[in-house]
Amino acid sequence: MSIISDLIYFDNPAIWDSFGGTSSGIGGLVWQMFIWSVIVGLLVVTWLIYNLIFFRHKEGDPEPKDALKAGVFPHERGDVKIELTWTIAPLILVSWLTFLSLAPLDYMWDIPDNEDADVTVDVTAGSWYWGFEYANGYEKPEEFTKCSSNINCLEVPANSIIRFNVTSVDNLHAFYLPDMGIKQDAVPGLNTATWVDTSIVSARDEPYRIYCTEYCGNSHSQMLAEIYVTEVNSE
Amino acid sequence: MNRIKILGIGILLSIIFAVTAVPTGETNPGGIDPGISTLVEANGCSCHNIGDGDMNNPNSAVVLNLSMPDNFTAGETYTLTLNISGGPNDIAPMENGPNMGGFMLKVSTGTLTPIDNNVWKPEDSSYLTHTGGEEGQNGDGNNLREWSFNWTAPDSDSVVAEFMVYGNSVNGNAYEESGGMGNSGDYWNSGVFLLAGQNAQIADGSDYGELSGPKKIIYGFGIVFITLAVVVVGYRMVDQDESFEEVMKSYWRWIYPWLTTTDHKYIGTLYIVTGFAWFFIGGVLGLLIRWQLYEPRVDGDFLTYQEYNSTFTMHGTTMIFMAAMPIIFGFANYLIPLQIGARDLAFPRLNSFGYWLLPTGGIVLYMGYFTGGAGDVGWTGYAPYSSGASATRPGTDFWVAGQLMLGASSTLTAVNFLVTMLRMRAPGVSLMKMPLFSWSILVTVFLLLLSIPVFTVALILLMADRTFGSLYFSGPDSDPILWQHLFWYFGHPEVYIVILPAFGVLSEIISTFSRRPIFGYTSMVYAMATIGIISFVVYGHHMFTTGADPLFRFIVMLTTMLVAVPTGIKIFNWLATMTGGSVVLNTPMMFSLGTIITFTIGGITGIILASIPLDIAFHDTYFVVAHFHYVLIGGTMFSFIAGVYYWYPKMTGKMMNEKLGIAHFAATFITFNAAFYPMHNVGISGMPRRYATYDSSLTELNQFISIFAILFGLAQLIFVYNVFYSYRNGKEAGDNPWNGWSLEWATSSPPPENSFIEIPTLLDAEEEAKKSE
Amino acid sequence: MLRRRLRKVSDGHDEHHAHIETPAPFLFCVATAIMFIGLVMATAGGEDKTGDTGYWFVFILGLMGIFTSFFMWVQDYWNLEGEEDEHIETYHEFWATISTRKFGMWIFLLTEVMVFSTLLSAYLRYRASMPDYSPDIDCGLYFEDCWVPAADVIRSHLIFGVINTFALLLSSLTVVLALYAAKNNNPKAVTRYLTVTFVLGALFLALKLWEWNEMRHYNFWDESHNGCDILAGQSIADHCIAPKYANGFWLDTSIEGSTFYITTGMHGAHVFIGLIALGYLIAKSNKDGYNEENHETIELFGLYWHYVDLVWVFVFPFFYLY
Repeated sequence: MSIISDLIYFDNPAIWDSFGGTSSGIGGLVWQMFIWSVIVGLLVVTWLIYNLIFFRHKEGDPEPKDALKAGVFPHERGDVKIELTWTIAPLILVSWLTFLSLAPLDYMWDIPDNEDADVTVDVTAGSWYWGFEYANGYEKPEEFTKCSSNINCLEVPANSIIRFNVTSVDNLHAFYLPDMGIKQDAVPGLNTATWVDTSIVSARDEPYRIYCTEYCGNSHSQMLAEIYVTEVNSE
Repeated sequence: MNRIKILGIGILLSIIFAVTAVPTGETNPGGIDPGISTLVEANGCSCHNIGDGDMNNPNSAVVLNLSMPDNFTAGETYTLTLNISGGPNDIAPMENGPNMGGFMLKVSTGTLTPIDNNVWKPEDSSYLTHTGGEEGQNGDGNNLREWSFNWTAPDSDSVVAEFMVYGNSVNGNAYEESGGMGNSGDYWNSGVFLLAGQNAQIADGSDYGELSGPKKIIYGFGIVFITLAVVVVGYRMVDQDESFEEVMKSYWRWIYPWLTTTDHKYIGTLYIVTGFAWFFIGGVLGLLIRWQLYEPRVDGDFLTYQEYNSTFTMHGTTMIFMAAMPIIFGFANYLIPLQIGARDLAFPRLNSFGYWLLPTGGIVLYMGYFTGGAGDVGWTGYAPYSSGASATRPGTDFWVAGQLMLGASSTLTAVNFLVTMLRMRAPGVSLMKMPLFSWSILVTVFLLLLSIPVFTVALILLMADRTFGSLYFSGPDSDPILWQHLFWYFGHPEVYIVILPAFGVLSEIISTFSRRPIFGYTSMVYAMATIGIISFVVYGHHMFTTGADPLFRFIVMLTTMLVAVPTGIKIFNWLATMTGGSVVLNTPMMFSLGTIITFTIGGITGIILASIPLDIAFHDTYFVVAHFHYVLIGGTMFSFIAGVYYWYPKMTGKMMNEKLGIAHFAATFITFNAAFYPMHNVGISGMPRRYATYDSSLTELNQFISIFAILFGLAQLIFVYNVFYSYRNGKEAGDNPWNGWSLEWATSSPPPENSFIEIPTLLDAEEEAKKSE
Repeated sequence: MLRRRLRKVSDGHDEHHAHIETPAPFLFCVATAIMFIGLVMATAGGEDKTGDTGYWFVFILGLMGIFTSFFMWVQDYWNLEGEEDEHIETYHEFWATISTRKFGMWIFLLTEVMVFSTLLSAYLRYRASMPDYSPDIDCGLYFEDCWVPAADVIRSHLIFGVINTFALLLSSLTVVLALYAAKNNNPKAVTRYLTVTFVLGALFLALKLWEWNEMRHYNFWDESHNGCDILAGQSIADHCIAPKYANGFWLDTSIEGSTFYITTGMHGAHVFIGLIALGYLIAKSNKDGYNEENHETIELFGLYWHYVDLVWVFVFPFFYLY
């Protein structure tokens, strides 16, 4: 049963809940994309089935007037008005979807400066591990007890703005937090950045997942790390 | 009847014999303890401020040297010495210590032990580092550039120990800046040193006498084929009372024309057969992937992770370059001269050259399987993994070399087609009177001409990096994103190259089986041309997460959204063609309609991926895998399978079996959607691409996918059977069994040697009406 | 046994439109595959994956196969005395203004434009990422933060690059003169001009290889090969060697080296292939094969050769002067 419900209902709280309900507009974008996809898909399928029902060839049907003959280029068939409609309508639709993408994009790309973020973490990807360092002189609060080392384990405070400075020491990797919708390639020789507002997930004892999601060799699927979101009482 | 029975039993026996003769063996793990990848070890230079100038990059000026014995015996202890030279410390040593150099060393197997107080091993760790750093390990280790320590070998001497070393050369000039710490402006480097046990082999990790999985498959097929050949030849010698020379001569007489032909019809047939053969090989690789992903597996459970990496790499490269493109060129070769009323292509010998580069290039591509592992860099071959640390060598080099040949093939073929289509059209075939399949090929060859050379050069740069040590992608100042730009500038037009001909095929089939002209011929032409042009400015949508210029990424989002408009026009035009027509629902039509549905789904997920905020979540997950399989299989492959059903009567003069065709369609359509649709869910749940194993919560979905993928593969056997069965037993087809209009239906089935008895003249509908008055 | 045959057409309507059978393309491809297998195994095979030198034999075998199939291929044209495509009619006037083969050559050159555009754009991308070397800016201990171009390495010996440029330009002229000579039915002049072209092209390649060798061992600068003493305030203008080139200037030294050698190398490879084709042309013109009716091949080669020359006109300033 669970497979069927998985197929029918996109039942993953990660993307729908953590994206929706924020002021970033992602929730609206996701919902609109879903609705318009369903509408367009249904339109195409319905029209197809309509054709199959009402225009099916049956024995004894008269030949259409412009039936095809070998060696004869057929008469051009079309209707400018109708074609313009289905040129302009999709154009409007994709423009609308692009417009909807602007607010979330702006939100995502408005990366807080190192000083403005509550915590800045330097993320270093290597083959095949993640190294984390708190930057800007951040002092680990005493509530942070989950990580015994700074490799493959990171702890951040809840309800804070976390900025990640991402880089790699050898090959391409990608820093991916599926539960928070964060993804940023780790490029050797380049410092890239991304950020997250940890209020979109709840503080809990179990870690959230960190995956590497840019193919990097033998242990690409083993390059897992954990990120803990912990309540911090001070501040 | 008796002869056939005997032959059948003989073949069966020979297969059984061959299968038992295949050596057994086990796949070999890479020889490196899989545990190393999850070892929680410090980054060698975490004490030296990552992000501070050169501390980001290793510097080849720093030379690391680890003195080791030639090999080790199990359980023995050896004293090893690590030496660092070069770097700023040579030029600017510290005037008054401390801090000359530092190191960190870990090993994949065995135990490390310090022997003096220059080296220490942190508690609960298995790595060694220098003393004098911090946290009170007293010692002089930080003042040295050479350290000694002990290493005790593991209990097995048939493994290879991998030493991973980080070494730091301190910049004495930076003493003041770093507040006396001396840890700024340093240069560091890392290196891997292999020490093989007495009974181990470093090269490809496989023990002597054992074969790898892929080698077994290739040798197995070889043995089966040779045994079969012996049986067939032997049977013929006995039955027809011919000598061995006579049998060989008759086979040579049969095969020689195929090796030397420049006739577009034969070359087209060769392309199509070769393409479908590689489609099945690529399909087998795909099934290996799905079996690996049937449940979460540890390294070496079914495939080793490295073998898995080679599998998905070869699967992608095979499907695009050895299956999809050859099938397209095959149909183009066969049909374009017929559709435009020419006798052959402009450069027949070049055509043959373009074809033969394909099987030979494919062999070069697959040579990696004989040399320790085929290319494992993904079909996209991202640097710097592909230019440096790629685990399979020379497998990746063969991957590059094979694609150089295939790229040359496509480029020369494109030149051929462009000249042919512009210069050799029959009277009456003006550009705006060409069939839409011809138009799709015309736009496609423009894309080929402008994009393949870029990929070829990128491959040459990659090869130079790997072979000659150049620094395009693999040096400290190199830009891995340059490779991505070069690759995707080719890569995105490439996927339009494989889909536009599919659009052409769909237009032909849907128009013919609605028995009416295509709706909006002119807009269809302009839509294809627009798609072709826009395809060059959308490639950045593969690079949304790279950190490339935001303006670039933003513009590319706009253009990607825009390219949906002409594509939508085409879909609506196809549907409108059927409206008001007289729709015949036979196999080619069913596949075409199935394509409309699956391609629409693929197109919709493409729009979802075009939006940057959503792409950030979905990039490099199974959502993308679902998207491109929907457009590639659901778009390209379904269309060309429909094309086979549609043009098979023309090419062979026989009709294919309709019942088998419908069965093939039903099985294929259902299993395809069942296998690939759940990948959307899997991707949204966070499973990344190119993963050999996954979170156990996704097991059920993955099993569902794998089972239906296997069924999808089995369903294609119906198609293979139909092709061969109909060749012998199909009904006579006649010139124009489907009542199509384009010129190929105005010649016999199959066409005569020179394709047309006389060059035809294409009439216009108005002219034709006047004529018949 | 392996000779080309013209397949007879059964219906007797048009013997002209027979399909050619030739094993040359098949053999060319097989030889190419053998060559690549040899090359890859020789450079990346063997136990330690750095090359199994025994495979150079396979590589040479493949090269020989390529040459042999090339000869087999052009054998079809050796005895032709007129344009082969006069049988291919065009029914659409607009496209009839250019012959099929010439059209094909122009399209092929379009793809070559893409090839060199890619090489140059990769070069420009890297060049733009670093400031050019100047003693006034901080270039790092090894000058690794600045772009020290090949032009700096070669500046004192620029004369050879200039000679090369003139050689190539002159050779383009001689090809045109050869074409005129053919059109004027002067076969001896054709041979002479084509030979001069060949000599100039070969001179270009020889000078280039010699230049490369000198640059690789950094022989163009100060004979004593002294590196720049930064602490003493020396700069490249003092004719000392940039520290990062202390061991020579080769394609694995730095990106400046990689881009220089790969780009000029690709250009040189195109010159080399042109010379091989030119060999065929000279051989045929030697037996008076080119005349008023039959000269298109020279024109086609001329197009290719002009293009190679044009690429050099871009490569030279970008890499030798700037």
